[in-house]
Amino acid sequence: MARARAKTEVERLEIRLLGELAVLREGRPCPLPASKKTRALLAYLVASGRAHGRESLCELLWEVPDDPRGSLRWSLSKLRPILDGPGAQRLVADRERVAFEANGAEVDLHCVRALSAKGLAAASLDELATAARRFEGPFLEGLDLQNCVPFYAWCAAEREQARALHLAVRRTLVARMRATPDLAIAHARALVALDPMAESSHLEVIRLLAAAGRTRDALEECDRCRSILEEQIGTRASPELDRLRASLRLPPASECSEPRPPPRAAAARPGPSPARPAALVGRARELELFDELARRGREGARASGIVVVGDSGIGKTRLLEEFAGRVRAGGGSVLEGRAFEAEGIRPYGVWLEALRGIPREAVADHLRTDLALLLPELGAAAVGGDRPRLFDALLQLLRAARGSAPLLAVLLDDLQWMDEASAALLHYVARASEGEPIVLACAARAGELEDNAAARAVVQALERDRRMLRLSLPPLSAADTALLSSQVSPDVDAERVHAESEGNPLFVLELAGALSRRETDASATLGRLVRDRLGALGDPEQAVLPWASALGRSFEADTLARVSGLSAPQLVDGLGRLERHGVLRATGGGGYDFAHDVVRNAAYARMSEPRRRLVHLQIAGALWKGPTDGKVAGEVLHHAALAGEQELAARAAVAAGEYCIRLFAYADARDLSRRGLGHAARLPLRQRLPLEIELLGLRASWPTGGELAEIDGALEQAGRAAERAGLLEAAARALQFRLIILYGGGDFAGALASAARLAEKGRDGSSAALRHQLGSARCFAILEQDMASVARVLEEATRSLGPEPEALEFYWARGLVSRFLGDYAPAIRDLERAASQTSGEDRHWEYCWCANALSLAELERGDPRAAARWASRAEEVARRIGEGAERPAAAALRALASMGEDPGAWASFSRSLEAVRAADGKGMLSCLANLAAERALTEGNGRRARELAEEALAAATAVSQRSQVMVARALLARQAMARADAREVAAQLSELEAALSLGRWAASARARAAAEKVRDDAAGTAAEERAPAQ
Amino acid sequence: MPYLIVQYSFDTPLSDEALRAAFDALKPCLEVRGIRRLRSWLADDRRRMICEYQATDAQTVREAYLSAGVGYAQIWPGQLFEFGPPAHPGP
Repeated sequence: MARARAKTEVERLEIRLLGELAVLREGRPCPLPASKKTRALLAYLVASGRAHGRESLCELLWEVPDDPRGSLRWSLSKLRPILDGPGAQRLVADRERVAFEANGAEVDLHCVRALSAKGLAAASLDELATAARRFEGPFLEGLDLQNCVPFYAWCAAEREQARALHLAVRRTLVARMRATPDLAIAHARALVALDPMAESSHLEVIRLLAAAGRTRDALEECDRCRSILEEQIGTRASPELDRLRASLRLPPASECSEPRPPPRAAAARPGPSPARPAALVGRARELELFDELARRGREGARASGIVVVGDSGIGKTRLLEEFAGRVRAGGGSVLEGRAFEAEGIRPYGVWLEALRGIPREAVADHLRTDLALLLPELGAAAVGGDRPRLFDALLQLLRAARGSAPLLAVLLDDLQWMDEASAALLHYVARASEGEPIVLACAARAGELEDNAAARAVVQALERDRRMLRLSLPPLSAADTALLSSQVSPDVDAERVHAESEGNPLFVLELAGALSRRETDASATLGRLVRDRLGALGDPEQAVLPWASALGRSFEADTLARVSGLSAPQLVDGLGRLERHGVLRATGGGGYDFAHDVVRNAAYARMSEPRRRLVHLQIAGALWKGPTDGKVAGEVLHHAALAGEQELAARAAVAAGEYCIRLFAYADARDLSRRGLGHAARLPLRQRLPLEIELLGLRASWPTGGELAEIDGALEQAGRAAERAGLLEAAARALQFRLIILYGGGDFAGALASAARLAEKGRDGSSAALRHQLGSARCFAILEQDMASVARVLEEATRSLGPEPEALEFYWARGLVSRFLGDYAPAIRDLERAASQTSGEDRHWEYCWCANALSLAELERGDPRAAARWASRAEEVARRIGEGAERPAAAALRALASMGEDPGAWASFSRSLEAVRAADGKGMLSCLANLAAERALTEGNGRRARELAEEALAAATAVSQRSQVMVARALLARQAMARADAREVAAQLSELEAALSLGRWAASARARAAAEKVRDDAAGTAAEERAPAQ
Repeated sequence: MPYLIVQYSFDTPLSDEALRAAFDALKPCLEVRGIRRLRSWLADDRRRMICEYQATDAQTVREAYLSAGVGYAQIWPGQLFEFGPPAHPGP
């Protein structure tokens, strides 16, 4: 008994995935969370019908660094009250896993799948008709989440499967209902709508129309089919269509009883579009707050901005427009920008919109080169700028845009779609314009703002700093709803309008319009109302709508002309009509904008899935001008992704990412990298690898901490795969990106190991790459960093380029490696060869560097005359270099070489060393000071030796010269031993022991010998001290 | 790490192409030496320029420039003084 009662208490829950996501409790729609990701989570759990690990759900939807598990928890807390009910727990979650359990809930997709599993052939006609009715639109219509690649990929695959299921159901129905052609036609037409390019569906419609005696309609269908095949996919109709058409004969006009329908455009001309009311209804409190913002802005008080949040259609944009009107009326200036959903990938998108309102001549000359990065129409861009400089220039531009006006209002709409770079700029402007007559008025959709980490963070930060006030826009009251609906038609039932629209102004306008035309039933949704209104438009409008809606909410007329292939008269006519119907509005400068995003979505939803793909494919192809046009590459990516063109999408992601990097929009570049990788993953290996490497490379220069190892590992893996596939260029690119990461992280050893591998590749690939690596190897040898890898690169070079390559860098680097290893004869031979290669040319610095290195080598091996000779040559040539440490270093070397013979040598050395100090040449300073300290020790001048060795130690430590650090410590230990400072000796020996333990490649042979000698001397001294005691 | 300033002067105004070529040539030479580029100022007449870096010492920066074959007038280490955001301009 109790059990039976519990069962009756379970509410009836219906979940619709086919079409827009909807949850109905006892037949009434439940409000769904505004956050798209939360809705996506609901759909995913319900559609998959199985348990998922929390980790994998985070990866699916929250591939962001900021607390993905927290976001998942928040979303689940929003879903529980929707899914669970008294007596039924449907969202089952523990610490690890989350699952949806139906528990009596009806899921449309599952019902259709169950029918299909049973076999459609065995299903009854009623069951099939019910299944067909369940397909209200494409699977999860409007919930693509393009920025979440894993979810997007899952959704696209499910959508395709659902479409195939829908086609199968309709085909079965058509086959079963041939005997009743009048009834079957609707299903055949649905097949055409699902796949307009399938000729077989058109033929089915034609046959059924003919069987129903509707010959004229059948003939029109023939013509429509032919035109679709020829114009949209460029193929000829089959002989079957010609045969069918030939078989259709119209009866003589006098016998024709078939009423000819009026032309479509005239058939159901929609009534007046929901006119924009002249006055804003309600919102008095909100306008007061905006007026206060403007007042504070004008007075230079700490003016906070305002961000208006609310549901779609609640009137956010209208409120901003009202504010703009008031600012203008008060003599102020206004800049307006809006972010677009497809545009999370165009850096600074919302600002670009706003800046477009500034006349070009208002841009000061000194700002042009900085701003040209963002606004190329201003001329050549500065090279080597940075983000702060760009932001500063943009703020100056805003100041110039205000001019002498008392206030500048910057209106930024739809912040929920703002990209990271725009968010950073918003933060900067809000903070840096404090106290200036510049105010920010923004709007964002509630809930969806939470999905955009960058936008959410900046709004929260500005709220915290009291620079931004969050203003939630409530629904209209019953009285305001009545006032608004009476502006559309005074006769409509205002109470009904308020009850059904729940005070949403856009809904009020659409519903009032539909009621006044008697075009709606009781269960209309806003989307359905708008879709019906669009459906009643004429052919000229219908020709333009698909292209316009696929392009996005806002578009330029010339772009539309380029991508659609429509003639100019067709466009002018169609755009004009759409404007008159309130579907579009002109934004100036040849731009158009849908009246509202809801209208754009409705227009887009009217296209079948294959048609959409075709339209997006054509748009992507028309916009893509190659990898150099980074500015439109983001749009190309959007359209190519929707067209299912994976390769073009991945290529566009590379181009768009490189563009972002040029504009310092690194977080956006990172997002593009992730999205591009999602597309590249679906390509065959040889197409995939080069793109994958470039996409990973987008993150190589500015990896965030946690990413570094991950990207490096991925690049290594991709590089090796490319190598195995014989894609040498791609493999070399992978190594180059890895070098950037490794240099950036200070991992010289890793970088050189990569360089060595690149050198290996040079044998098979281009020797140019190897020569480039020889240049790097020389630099590492100069810095004395990871000499083991330098030696490996050189070995590879001899195998690849022969034993005596004609490369200055080779001999230079090999000479330094030999000197490092204490092999002075080959070192001097190689360095002389390097020097001789530079002496005939205008390469003074190279010659000077080699000559100084030779002088040092000669001093180290004990040939002061030869050292003096090289030092003199270096000194002579260094005169031509200009400032720098080369000349004083050469003079110091010459002085060192003459010590013991020239009494003025020390004075001369000290002067030269002072000049080296002044030139801030720490590397050279440490070498010279160590050599001089050694000399001072042998002369018995302990104090001088100590001072010089301490200076050498400090300088060598600053530039990470490990060999010179060791030499200095050895000298300090020897000096400490001389003055019997046991503590100092022990301290230095401990450091030296640690350095010696690093192996022969960690420091030069000379440094190691010095350390070992002092260690042995100390051990000997200790033994001597112990001996008497024994 | 110390701040390093590189000064340049040019007899003729520096073209965008020359500027880009110089920065491209410098990039690997700076990277290999762990030199961090902070910002550059190009005079409006394009005859003078200053670049700011962070590096271990001035000579390392000089060697990077010389390795890259990019000329300069002077390179010197310096201290940075920051004065906060610019003052609010008058109406």
